[in-house]
Amino acid sequence: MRRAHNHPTWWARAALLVLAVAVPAQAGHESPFDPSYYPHEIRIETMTPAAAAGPLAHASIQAFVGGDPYADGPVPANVTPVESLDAYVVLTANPKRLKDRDARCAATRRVAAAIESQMARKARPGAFVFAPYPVTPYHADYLAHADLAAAARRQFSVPAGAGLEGLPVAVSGTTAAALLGRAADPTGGAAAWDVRVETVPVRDLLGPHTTGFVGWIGPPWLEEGWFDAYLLMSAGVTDRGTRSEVERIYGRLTDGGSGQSEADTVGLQRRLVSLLQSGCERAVVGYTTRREYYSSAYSPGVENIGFDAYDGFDSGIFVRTAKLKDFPWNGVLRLGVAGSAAAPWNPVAGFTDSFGQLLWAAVGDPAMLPAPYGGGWIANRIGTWQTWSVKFQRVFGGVPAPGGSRHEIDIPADALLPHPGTGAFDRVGAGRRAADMVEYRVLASAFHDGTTMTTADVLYPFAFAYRWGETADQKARAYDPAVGRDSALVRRFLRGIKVVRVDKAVLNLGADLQLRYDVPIVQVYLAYGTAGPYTPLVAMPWSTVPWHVLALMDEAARRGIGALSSGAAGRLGVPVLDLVRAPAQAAELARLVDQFAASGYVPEALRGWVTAGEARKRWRALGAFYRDRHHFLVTNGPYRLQSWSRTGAVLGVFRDLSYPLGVGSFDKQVYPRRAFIRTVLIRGGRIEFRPDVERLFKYDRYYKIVTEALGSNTSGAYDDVNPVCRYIVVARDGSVVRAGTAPGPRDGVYSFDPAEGLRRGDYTVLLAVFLGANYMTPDVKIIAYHK
Amino acid sequence: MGSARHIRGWGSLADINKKEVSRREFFEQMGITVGAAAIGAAALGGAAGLTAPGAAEAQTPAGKIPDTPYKVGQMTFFSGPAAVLGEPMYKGTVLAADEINAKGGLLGKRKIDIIKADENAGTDANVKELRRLKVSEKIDFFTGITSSGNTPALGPVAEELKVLTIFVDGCTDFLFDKAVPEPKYIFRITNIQSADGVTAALAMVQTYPEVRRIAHIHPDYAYGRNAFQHVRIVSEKLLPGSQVVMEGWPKLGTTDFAAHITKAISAKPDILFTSVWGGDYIAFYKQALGYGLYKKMKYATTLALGVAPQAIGKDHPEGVIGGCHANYYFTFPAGNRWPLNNTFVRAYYARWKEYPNFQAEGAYTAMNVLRTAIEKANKLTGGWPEDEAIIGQLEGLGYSGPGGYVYIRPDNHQGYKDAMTGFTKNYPNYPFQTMDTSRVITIPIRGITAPPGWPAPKGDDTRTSDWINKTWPKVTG
Repeated sequence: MRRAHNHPTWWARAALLVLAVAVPAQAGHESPFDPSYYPHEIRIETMTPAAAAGPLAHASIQAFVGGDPYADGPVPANVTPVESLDAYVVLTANPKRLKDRDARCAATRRVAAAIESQMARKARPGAFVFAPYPVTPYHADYLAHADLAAAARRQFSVPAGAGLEGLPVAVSGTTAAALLGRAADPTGGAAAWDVRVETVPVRDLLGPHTTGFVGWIGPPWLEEGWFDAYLLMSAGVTDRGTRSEVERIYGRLTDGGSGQSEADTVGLQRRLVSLLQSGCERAVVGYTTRREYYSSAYSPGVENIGFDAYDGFDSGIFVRTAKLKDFPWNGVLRLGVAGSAAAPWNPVAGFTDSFGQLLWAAVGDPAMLPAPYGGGWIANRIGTWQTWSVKFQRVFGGVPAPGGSRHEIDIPADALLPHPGTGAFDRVGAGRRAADMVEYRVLASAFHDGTTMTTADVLYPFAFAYRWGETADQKARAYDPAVGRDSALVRRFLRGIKVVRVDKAVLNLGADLQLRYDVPIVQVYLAYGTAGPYTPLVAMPWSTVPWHVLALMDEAARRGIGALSSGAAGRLGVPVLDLVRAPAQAAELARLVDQFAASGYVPEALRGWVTAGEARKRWRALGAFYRDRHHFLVTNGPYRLQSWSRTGAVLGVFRDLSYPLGVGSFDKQVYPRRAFIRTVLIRGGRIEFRPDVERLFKYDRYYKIVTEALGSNTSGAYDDVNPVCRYIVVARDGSVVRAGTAPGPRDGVYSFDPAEGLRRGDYTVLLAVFLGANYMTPDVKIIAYHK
Repeated sequence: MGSARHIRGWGSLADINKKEVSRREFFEQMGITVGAAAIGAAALGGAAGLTAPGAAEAQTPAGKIPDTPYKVGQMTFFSGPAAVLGEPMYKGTVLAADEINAKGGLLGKRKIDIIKADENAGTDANVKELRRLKVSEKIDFFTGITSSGNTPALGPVAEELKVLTIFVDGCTDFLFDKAVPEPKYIFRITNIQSADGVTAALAMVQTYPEVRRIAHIHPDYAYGRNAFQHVRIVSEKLLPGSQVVMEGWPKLGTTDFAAHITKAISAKPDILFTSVWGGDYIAFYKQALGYGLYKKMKYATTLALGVAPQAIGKDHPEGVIGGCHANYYFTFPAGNRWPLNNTFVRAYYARWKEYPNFQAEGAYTAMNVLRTAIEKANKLTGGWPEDEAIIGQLEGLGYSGPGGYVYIRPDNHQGYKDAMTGFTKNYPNYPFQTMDTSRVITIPIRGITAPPGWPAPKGDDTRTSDWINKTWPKVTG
């Protein structure tokens, strides 16, 4: 099961150790800390893949995002690829023509076999992978499905018999057509087909479920394979009983009630995927990978490359790790991006295209970042947290609650809950209880307009979400479907918020380098949660946008200056709000800001939290920012929008000393490495093996990946290996009886009994070693095990 | 290769107290050397019994030596901006350990086992980590440390824990001036921070004796102020009538230096002095190029060559004073004059596929200094020596390292070696800019550091600054 990584970073550790050492000013040295990330400027320009080929080869751009400039030709020297999951290749049985399950299964199997046969002859390595199972090696939960995926693959190891003669097949899109060696069918949606072949880009699949709202994340299970399978297949399930069971399991997996153990949860996920496939209404036949390139040329290229298993370079991790070779830090990073910059630049429901996603990855700053290689989420602006139920478990020896009963927690009477429809904060009042509580340390910092983040900024997104996202009348003007969607999970879980206090933390770098931070401590009370790994991730108190910008958008939407999202814009017949590129809107927003500055306007939800004087300062700062920079896209993120055109943008680094993360904060996320299990011995019931591991050898302005036996230290590399051996034990009936982590290796050798305490019998053990939280493309061993 | 111009060493402190000397006389007495061949005449008097790498290797250790690993805690930057300094430091430690282990280990028996820790955790966390290394990992020896923010915090803790320590860097004067004025367990190898500013200033004075109008751009925190303080005191002594015509203090995180550059140009200085470092320095010099700054004034730095050799590009102006933290640059001393450096650079390159910086050399030397002290102590005591015996040998130890002679002063446990700086130059054999091998400036360290017994001044002043202020003459001419 994937987890949120709550490792205290150096910063968090420093935050916990306040003012421990005082060193006089004389003890100076070069500063070992620089806030924000490597490049001091990022230039983004739209271009076609073909147009990017030359500039990338000559390093006049250092990376191309979202496309393959060398798909049809040789790759130049000093241009290096990374690969991420791009799209599923999906078969859909026509429900009107194939009403019988067996007929559907036979038809989709024939098409899958034809694709495999075609690709075996003509496949371009890496572009398409035949894998007839919806959970792929790019998913962190692949280990839990590896035996099922292998079994699905084995079905095609024998000739499939007749080809596609007599089977009407529609193909949608050029990629799908190429897989069958035919031209795309322009009437792909026509009725006279039994099976349709199409590619479903992962971004299209997940886009409607991704939360971009002011730096919130989610849902926590967004990039898990079982969730993708649910999105791909659940709507097509025809059998009523199966569908009911699918929804029941999905509900358990997403309501924090998935099970009492990790094995239970994994079992549910496997069961869900099996049910989704059982009727053959839809089948995944494989996936395509996205190949993106960066310039590794000496010296104008880049190094220290992180990317995302799903989004490749179009991700927060890329802009937080990429480093110019010519600069220890600083320098101008030039990026080309495929596609246009058409989506509105608005932090509530905008930045939905590739260009916008990349820009927002740098300008915005989410509560957490997706772990880049499929390992859950990693801390970003939520520093650390404690979950009440986990603490409770410890008291009772590690079980969720004595006797299996749930133990709820009292919600403080003065905790707040936004009122649906208005967003005004109501006191929860006495006698209310929650299933769980999470206490967060929020890493505040200054906004780009110079204002200081306060608890009002943390609270206001909740008010905004309830104001615009919850209504009895979904046709009402004061309802936005995008806000409703993005905040649905929060609203479902949230039972109260309480700002406990604001800590003062110091990052002591010695001498006069004492960096001081405000750290709001916020408790969030939840309706569901049984210490599951998702619990801390469903309603995080965070905003990367200051309350005054959100309030400005609120008022602009209310007055019809623009809609918050394209969905509402279409319904209301107004343009979508764009805080940067809509001159007419900007003029009206500027007038509003001046009015609010004069009146000291405080939104209703924040009365009692913000005084008129404080509000006046905020509005004045925003007005000054607009007059200086001509836009309203103010955040507390690591980069600030400097200039823009129809096809590009220039971002300047925001090296404000209140920014709590710095150059190198995500260096551990670069260059994902893998482990390989060559041979496994089973001796006395113990599984024993010594994996080979990839190591990162950095030198000069280069790096290379070298492989050595774990613990041998023969390669000369000195990176941290951090191996984690995970295993799943499956009984003969397919039930998951154990999911766990093997004890750490001794002298590089793992030795453990995976079935300790289990009854005698035959089991299948799924086994993999992961390095440095890289869960992508693991080397999984499937072991027949007899106890 | 230019010929070396070797000048006599400084005589005695009494000479310094002469109130009026000419600049030429001052430099002659100080013993500054400019050229390709110089190896300074070591540091202070105790260096008579100099030891070279592996000098004692052939001798059988006395007594019974255990074969348990010798645990070395190495803390330096493996992440963040300072990793560009820290990683070479670790590489230097590993190279030395590998060489020692290849010969059986310390005293031929105890293999060195390095446990690394990331200094980027922050000062407070580093203190905790040192405690953990001692208590949980049971390290025998602690080394590393890049930041001067950390040595004053870790030094007292190392003393408290009684863990034998050689800091490689963390070169603040404050460590031994005030934080640990009477050290027992802690030592340090690289030159103290004040040497950085003083060395660069002396290079300026000697190279450009005509300059009088001096502009400064330094980072706006203690390091920059330390550099400014020491350049200024030297300028006041040796450049009569000189004046600071401009001060620029870019704050931490500054990426746009235009305001400082244009202000410096407007001030029409004879020379611009800067201690901006790392990525900030790269941004600075590239922006300054755009303004044509280098055509309008002379230019001196403490750190242009003081990060890692590969860190600076060939577009950097040539022929300017490119400091290397007053410590070491890999092309000096030249191999034909000082084989120890040639051997070190070759071994380092073979192991790590890059050239060493001053941290790598310092770390390598620190490990070999330790080895040497252990071997000497073994001869005296037999068996594996107690820490006290090793400390006794470290105090006053003279050692020939890749960068020249190092002397560990017994009174303050500070390593002293002749300071160096030079001029930037592009050579076709290197894809980055390097130091002009024909114009290396070396300065006997005793000439620019306060002597033993010099009292710690009050306030923020360093011993060095106080000593220069009180003893150096104001030159004439």
